[in-house]
Amino acid sequence: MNMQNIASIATGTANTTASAPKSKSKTALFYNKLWCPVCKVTDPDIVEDYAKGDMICRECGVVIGDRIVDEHSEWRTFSNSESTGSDPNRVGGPTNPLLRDSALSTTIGKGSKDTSSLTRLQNKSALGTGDRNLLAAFKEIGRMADHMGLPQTVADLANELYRNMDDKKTIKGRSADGMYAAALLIACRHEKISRTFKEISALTNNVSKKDISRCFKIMKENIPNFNLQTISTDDFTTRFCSNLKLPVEVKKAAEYVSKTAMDMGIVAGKSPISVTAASIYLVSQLSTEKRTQKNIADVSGVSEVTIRNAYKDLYAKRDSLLPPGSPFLTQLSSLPPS
Amino acid sequence: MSNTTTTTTTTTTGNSSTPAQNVDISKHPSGIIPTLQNIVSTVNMATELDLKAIALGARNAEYNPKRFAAVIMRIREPKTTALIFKSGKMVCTGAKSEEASRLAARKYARIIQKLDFPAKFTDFKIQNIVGSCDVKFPIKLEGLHNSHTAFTNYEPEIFPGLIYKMIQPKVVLLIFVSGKIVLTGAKVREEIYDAFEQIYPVLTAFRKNTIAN
Repeated sequence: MNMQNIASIATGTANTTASAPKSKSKTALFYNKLWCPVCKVTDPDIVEDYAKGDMICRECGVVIGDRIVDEHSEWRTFSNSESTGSDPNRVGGPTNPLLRDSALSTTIGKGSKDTSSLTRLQNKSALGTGDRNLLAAFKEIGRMADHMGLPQTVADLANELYRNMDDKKTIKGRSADGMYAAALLIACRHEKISRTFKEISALTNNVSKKDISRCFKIMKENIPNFNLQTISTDDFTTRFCSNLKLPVEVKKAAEYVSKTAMDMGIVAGKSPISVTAASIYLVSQLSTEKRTQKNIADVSGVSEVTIRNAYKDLYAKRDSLLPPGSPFLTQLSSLPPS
Repeated sequence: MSNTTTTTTTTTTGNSSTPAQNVDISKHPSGIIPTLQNIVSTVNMATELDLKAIALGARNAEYNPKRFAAVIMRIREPKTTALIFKSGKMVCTGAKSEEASRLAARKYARIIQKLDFPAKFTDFKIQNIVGSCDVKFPIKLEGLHNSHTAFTNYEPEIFPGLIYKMIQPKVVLLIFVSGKIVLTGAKVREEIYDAFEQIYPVLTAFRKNTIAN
């Protein structure tokens, strides 16, 4: 009887989503509607009775759900005035679906004298299963994301990516730190807030850019259907300009310059980061807010020599790089040649 | 922009990979033949060797057991390098054609024979052929990567060229913005030609038309 009722609720949701306007699977969840199978009113007044674990339709009085598990927290415990001892919480912590043994966090409680050795043994063995390296990975990824001020969505995506990789066991033999970095990199790129390899390498414990790139390659091959766009100059212009405290006009002009330069092919073969850095240098030299090559090198991670080389290419075509009608066009003659 | 060079008719092209002779359009519809740059081959001389004796007895041989467990020998004609191992197996690299590689391997075996080892010439096999060519027009790597994501790997931060892993034939191509292509991983010359003919129409589709500004 219970299963039938629950099934009718499920089909109820399926039907309503079919009639909902064309929506992708994610938004379909928001159209989740419950309806009572007995009175079939479309906007029913359904109430949850937590005490008994029932769902009751107020229109007709039918009990729809049964034995619904309450997943709210049991107690609201604030900072303990009494240290330890009586934490009245009888349930475990929130479940993390990414961890393999999720939902099972049974621990040995505090009781008689034997419990301490039991607790010790449990900590040694039970946690040692697959989960320990996952927990360490999540902790490390979280730390790196935090350092860079990345949003939680990015860290979560990176965790998920790492989890998928861990399942496939292709990580064996690769430096763990490199895999964390690669997961974070892919997550950043996917959320359209790219970070350069150098930036991520700076956060890790001595992982070279080469290692990260190797792990990145492996990881990319292992995720099915993950369309990662190649980096372009626009991804970084905004960030570098704001780190250099350059005004918006400079940023806009630098974006246009770098895009034009890439299209014209005058900087063929140079990394987009270097092109961005050089175009920022060019435009900042034209504006009132001049930045030295050293400043830009510090912010972007590109070496000064590389900026200089890319700048030489840009300087050769400086007449055609700026957006038409730009206030900087008047200053073109005052540009330094290197 | 007047930087792009236009390919003239196939027979008179100045492309270094097509010599003065006519290019066979039926075999190479693109009109360009990749030149082979390196051939790696292995041969088994079927006898145990004393590397120290070889290093002392032969000219142009270096042997540093602490660094690498093989004798590195070089000959001038064909200009090749060989790694000779104690088991009698040898790797010959640097030749520009299959015949040259075979000839060079024979010369090395002859040198070993002259040092009083019963060297034979068995199991000669070409392991890798590297070729390169130039399509003479710039290429939009970004576009190529987006459309062939399953086969390509393009990370401008890591390496400026696009790495195309072709499945049939099993050849890896390095494609650069300038239009220069490097093909490697083939076991026979035809695989290189085949791979290039397959990629040529794709490259022309992603030709970069520089904006005249």
